[in-house]
Amino acid sequence: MKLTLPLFLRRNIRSRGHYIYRTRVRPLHHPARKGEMVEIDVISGDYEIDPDPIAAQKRLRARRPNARLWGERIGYRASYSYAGGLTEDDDD
Amino acid sequence: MTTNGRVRNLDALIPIGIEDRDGTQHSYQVVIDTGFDGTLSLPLADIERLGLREGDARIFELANGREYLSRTFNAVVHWDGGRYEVVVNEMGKRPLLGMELLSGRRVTLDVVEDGPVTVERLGAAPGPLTADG
Repeated sequence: MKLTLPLFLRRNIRSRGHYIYRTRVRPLHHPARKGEMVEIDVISGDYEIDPDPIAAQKRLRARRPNARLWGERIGYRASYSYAGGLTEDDDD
Repeated sequence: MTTNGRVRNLDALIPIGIEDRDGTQHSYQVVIDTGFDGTLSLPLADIERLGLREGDARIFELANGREYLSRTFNAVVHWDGGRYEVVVNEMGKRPLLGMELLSGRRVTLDVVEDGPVTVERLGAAPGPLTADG
């Protein structure tokens, strides 16, 4: 099974997913849910928030079985870090 | 519950099992990486071999400060006496175990060749899906 997703598709998911995050999720849920993961279906715009990303994905896939998911950690530039800590976003 | 590993070439290695799509368990030696705040990273070739279920796409922050766009997968991992459902990041050339999976546990290591590595469960550790028999 070959899993490599074409680069243009990954960039499309990022650009649409981050747009939904910036315009619909962050204004409503930051700072109250800062640090939690949001899982966004880039096709429908529907989303779920949970400290556990797998729990959020399961709830969203129950409603949207064909969801194409984009994940963000609310209030941070990245979801995970290999750098010993996450950098806060500067969207305020 | 205690998991025992060894230091090899300055890497702290511990054994875990990862279930493939059919539920068969495969053994891995993973490197403890305290700079990684997630659960588990695997090279793409291992993710393909295991046939892991796709999760989402997201941004990772690398040690050099750059952002990396990648996908995640969901896997069932056997370690610390139980089965845990975890997020697996597609990253790098070696399996890495991060701080999120070590949460609520004590890690001790003797950093000499073949030195012991132990991961011991504390009361605060999140519970498994099911205990390993």
